[in-house]
Amino acid sequence: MIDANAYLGNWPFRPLRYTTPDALLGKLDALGIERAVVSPLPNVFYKDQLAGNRVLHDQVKTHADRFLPAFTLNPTFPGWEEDLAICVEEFGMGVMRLHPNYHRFALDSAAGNAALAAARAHNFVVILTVGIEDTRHHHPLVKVPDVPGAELAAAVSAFPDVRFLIAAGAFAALNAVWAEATRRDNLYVEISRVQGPVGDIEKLCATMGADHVLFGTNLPLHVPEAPAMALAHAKISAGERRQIAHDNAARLFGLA
Amino acid sequence: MIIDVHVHTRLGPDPHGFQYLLRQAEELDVTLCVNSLSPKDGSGMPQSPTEDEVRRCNDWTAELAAAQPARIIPMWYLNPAHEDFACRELEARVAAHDGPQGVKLWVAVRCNDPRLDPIMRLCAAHKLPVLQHTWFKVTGNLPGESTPMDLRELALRHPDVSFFWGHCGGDYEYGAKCARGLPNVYMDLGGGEAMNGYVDILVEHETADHVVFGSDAPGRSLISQLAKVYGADVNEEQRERILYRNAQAVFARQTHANGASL
Repeated sequence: MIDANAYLGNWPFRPLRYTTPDALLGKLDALGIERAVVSPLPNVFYKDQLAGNRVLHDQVKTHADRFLPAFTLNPTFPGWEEDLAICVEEFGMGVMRLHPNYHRFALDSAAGNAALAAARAHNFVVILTVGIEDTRHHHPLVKVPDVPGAELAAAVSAFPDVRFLIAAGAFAALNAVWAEATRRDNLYVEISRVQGPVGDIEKLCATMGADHVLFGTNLPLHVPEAPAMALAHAKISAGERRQIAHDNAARLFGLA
Repeated sequence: MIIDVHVHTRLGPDPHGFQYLLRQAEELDVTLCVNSLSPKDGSGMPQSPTEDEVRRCNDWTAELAAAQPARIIPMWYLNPAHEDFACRELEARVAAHDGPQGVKLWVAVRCNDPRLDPIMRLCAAHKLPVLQHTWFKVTGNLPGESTPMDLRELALRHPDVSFFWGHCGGDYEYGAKCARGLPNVYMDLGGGEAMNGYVDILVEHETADHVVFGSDAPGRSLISQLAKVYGADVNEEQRERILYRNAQAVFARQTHANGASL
C-alpha cells in the first residue's frame, strides 16, 4: 500500500502518536503500508516554510525507500521562489503541498497562480489540502474553514497540465470538487477524511472511477485504520482495491 | 458481537443507506440501536419535531425493530418540550415493545432543562438508557443543542439513569473531562472523525468500562467508527468492553416478559 497523504512532526494543539520517522514507520509497517508521501506538519503554522522543509529533508533522506517528501510552499511569504529553488536543487523536490486556508491565499489570486505556474514549470504533483481536521474541533483562536470545493475545482480546471491530489477532504467536499471541475483527467482524491456515509468508497468509485481515488491516512492526525478498514471492507473489485491502495499513487508519484 | 448504540434510520439524502447498513451489520454481527429523527416519508429532520412528527418517527423505528428483532434495538425519540406528551409517548412505546430499548434525545431542548426530569424518571423506572446528543462546536451550537457540560448536569441530577453520551461531547477532549467521575455515563464514540488518540483519551479519563461503541451511521460509515476502537492502544478485554460488553450490561438491567435479552 502507498499512503498518499501523511505528515511528520508535531501539532500545536494536542499530543499525537506517530510524529517521528521511526514511530510513523512502525505504524505504517503494522498496517502493511510500504511507502508514504509525507509533509512537514509544523509548516501549517510556520511562517518560513523552508525551515520545516529542511527538517523534513533531513528526516526522510535516510528513509528514501519509504518516504516521498511533499514540500510545502507559501507563495505569499518573501523569498518563496528562492526557497523553492533550494527545495528543487538541494532536496530534489517533486511534490508540492499547498495549504491555501492556513496560509491565507486564494488559489486564483496572483500568489496562488504563481505557485501553480511554478508547479507546472517543474512538473510537480500538487497536493491541495482541503483541511487538517474537523473545523468544529479547532482551537477557538484558530478557526480555519476548509478550502471551498469551487476554489479547488477552479484551480484543477485552470491548470490542466498539472496533476492535482485533493487531500484530507470529507466525502461531500471531494464530490463537490469533482462535480465542479471542468477538467478531471488531472484530478485525484484521497480518502483519509472521507469516513462516511455508509458505502462511501463504493460511491467515490462509481462517481470518479477507481483510477482517481487514492489511499491516504492523514497521519498522525487521524487513525489510519479508518481508511485502511474502509478500503478492505468496500464492495469493490480486487482490481479497484489494488488501484486505490497502490497503483494510482505509484503512477501519480512515479513510485516503483 | 458488536453493539452500536448510535444509529439513525436516515441521515442525509441517501434513502438506501440504512439497507446497506443492515447488510453490513449482518456481515459483522452488529446489533444496531436505531432512532429515527425523521419520519419514514422523508419529510425532513426538524430540530424541534411536533407531536405528530415524533409519533411518526417512532412508528418507523418500531416497524424496523419488528422486522429485525434480532438486529435492531429501538431508541424512542422524544421532544422534551412536549412534556406530558413525551411521557405518554414513551409509556406507550415501552408497553408495546417487549425487548431491549432506550431513548434518544437530540437538539430540541438543552438537556439540563428541567423539562427532561419527568422523562428521566420514566427512564429510571424502566431502566432505559438515554442516548443524549452532545456537541461542543467551536463553530457554534444549535439553539437547543446540548454541550457536554449540560449533560454532566443532567447525569448528576439523575444518577439512576444510564446515559450514552452522544458523540463523546462532539469535541471529545471536552467530553472526556466533563464525564470524569460519573458512574452512570457511557461515552458514545459515534460521529466525528477518527482522530488519533480519540479512544485513548476516553479510556484514560473514563476507563474502558465507560466507553461504548456508536457509529452515527448511516451518515458516518460503520467501518470508520470501528476504526477508532481498532486504532486505539487498548487491550483485547478493553476492546470487548467498548465494542459490546458495556452496552450489553446496560440493556441487561431491563426485564422483558418474553425473556428477550442480548
